[in-house]
Amino acid sequence: MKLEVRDGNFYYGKKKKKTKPSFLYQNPINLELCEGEILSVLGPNGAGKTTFLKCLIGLKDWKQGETRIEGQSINDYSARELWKLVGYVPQASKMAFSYSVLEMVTMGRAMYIRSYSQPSTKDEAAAMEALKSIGIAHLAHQSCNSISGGELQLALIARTLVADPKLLILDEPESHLDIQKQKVILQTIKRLVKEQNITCIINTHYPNHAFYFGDQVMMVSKKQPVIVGKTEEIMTEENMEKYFNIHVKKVETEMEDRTFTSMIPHYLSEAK
Amino acid sequence: MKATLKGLFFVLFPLFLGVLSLSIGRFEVDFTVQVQILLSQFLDIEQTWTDMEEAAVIQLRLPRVILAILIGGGLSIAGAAFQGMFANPLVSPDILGVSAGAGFGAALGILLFGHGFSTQIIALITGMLAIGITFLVGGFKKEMPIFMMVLAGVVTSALFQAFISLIKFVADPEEKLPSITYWLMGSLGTASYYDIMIGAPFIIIGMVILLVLRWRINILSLSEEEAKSLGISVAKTRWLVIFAATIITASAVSIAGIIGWVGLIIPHIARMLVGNNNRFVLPVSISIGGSYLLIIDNLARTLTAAEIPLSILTAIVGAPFFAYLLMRTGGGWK
Repeated sequence: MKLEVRDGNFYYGKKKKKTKPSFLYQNPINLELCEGEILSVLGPNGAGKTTFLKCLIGLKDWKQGETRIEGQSINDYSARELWKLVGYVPQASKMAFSYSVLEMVTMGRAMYIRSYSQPSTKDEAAAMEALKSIGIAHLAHQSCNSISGGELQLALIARTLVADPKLLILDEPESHLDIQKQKVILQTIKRLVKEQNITCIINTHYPNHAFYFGDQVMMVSKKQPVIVGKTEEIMTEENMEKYFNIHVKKVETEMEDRTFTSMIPHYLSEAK
Repeated sequence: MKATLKGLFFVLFPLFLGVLSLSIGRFEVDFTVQVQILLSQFLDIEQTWTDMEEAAVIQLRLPRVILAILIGGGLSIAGAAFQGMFANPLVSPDILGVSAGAGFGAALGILLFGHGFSTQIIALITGMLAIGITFLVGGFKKEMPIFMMVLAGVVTSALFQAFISLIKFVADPEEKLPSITYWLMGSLGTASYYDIMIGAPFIIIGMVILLVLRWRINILSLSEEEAKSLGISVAKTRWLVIFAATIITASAVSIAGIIGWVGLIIPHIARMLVGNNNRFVLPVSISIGGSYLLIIDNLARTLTAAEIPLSILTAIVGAPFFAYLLMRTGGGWK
């Protein structure tokens, strides 16, 4: 599915009549993603990464510009149509009333279930299927508050998969996870996206994860214009310094006959 | 199969208790006689009992039992729905100010007209009015978070409590004041078929709406954006839940006065029995809540010669139980 953003920008509060609104992004955002492609969004805290994701899928309204899916503005889609196409994975958090993992994943079928009816055994079977495809079927009957953060994040990904989305949006899915669980999450996302030809946008704090996902990168910062492009063009030492105010060294390593790129922050060399 | 049996139990238990309750009271009616009287309403059975016995069972106790089950079940499902929707286990059905509003209307009605139809209608209207004010204060902007509604409800409640105090202050202390005070503590002592005709339709409509929406209440308990991204219309569903819970609570208050604790405690018991899924919590709450208020009402009319107000009993039973829950779970409901 083709996803475009045309001249998107946002500001908080109401527009004052005379003064120019102070936009969150230095320049209007433009981007284009094809199916099976992943866009990683990088930027410091408070630069507007989460806001971008929310505007992108209509959870917040762009104050300017629009998002288009298959060439059509998302405002022209009905809520039900839109959320059948879009899967949104928020940051995992504990809840007041914890449901079982299966119950939680079944909620992902809501847009297919009529307002006045209850989920059927078919919906539960679909939820079970999604849990299997993610590899956490054994957690189905455990409480969401009793499983680990990484497992809950996987369950939330499964919850979007039961609706068979064409566009997958993830807000820092690997944050607060240890390095092994990060690996599971990243591999799962990449596998699903490539297998099912999903278009995917993912917020992350880790430059190396952007290299892993490949395809495209977007960088945002309060003081710099938003840039979008091919990963290798955007992920440069100069850009990291401009957007994150940190010196890094881009290094290439050979592993199993393939070349891998990663970034090493300079401050590491100071430690002696 | 096991689930069906469980379901059947929850349907039959309050009915069974209801039939049992008909023979309880200061005027003794034998249980077998009582069952015969009950059956004679539908079947042709030769009368072997006195007219007095029939009047006690059919005219006095039956409407009271029906109302106890309806109101107990209604307050409990409304409480369960609110706790789910606000994702907060400490919420009760009167959190948005409906009880205080309806209580004010009833006090005003008693002051002006005494007990009766007009008083119930005024209570219903002021209950709705209170919710209206809460909406106006807490929900006038689209992006306002849901807890603003709760805060607005607290403000509205305080306002109407003050109005109630004002009415008590001006009421005739010989006659009206005791009547108002007694009524505000909740009682089914005056229950009649008339009350059922006015109140039951609202309570039943509210219950049906909540039962229909019960699975969606799970989704409402997530964060607003999460709920939206699952494709449900959050505002509309929330509004419907509030509407349904409000008509239940307002008509319960207009019939039986303010009965505290039931809507707060019963959903917790339901969750202990069937887990957190509101698909099961809501119907089970009706069953347990109906049975609970029925037992409380039986105690209210048999413990002493004078009727004990319901809120006194529900608090004496409910508060220690809730304290126990708090200590056991440390405030975190898993």
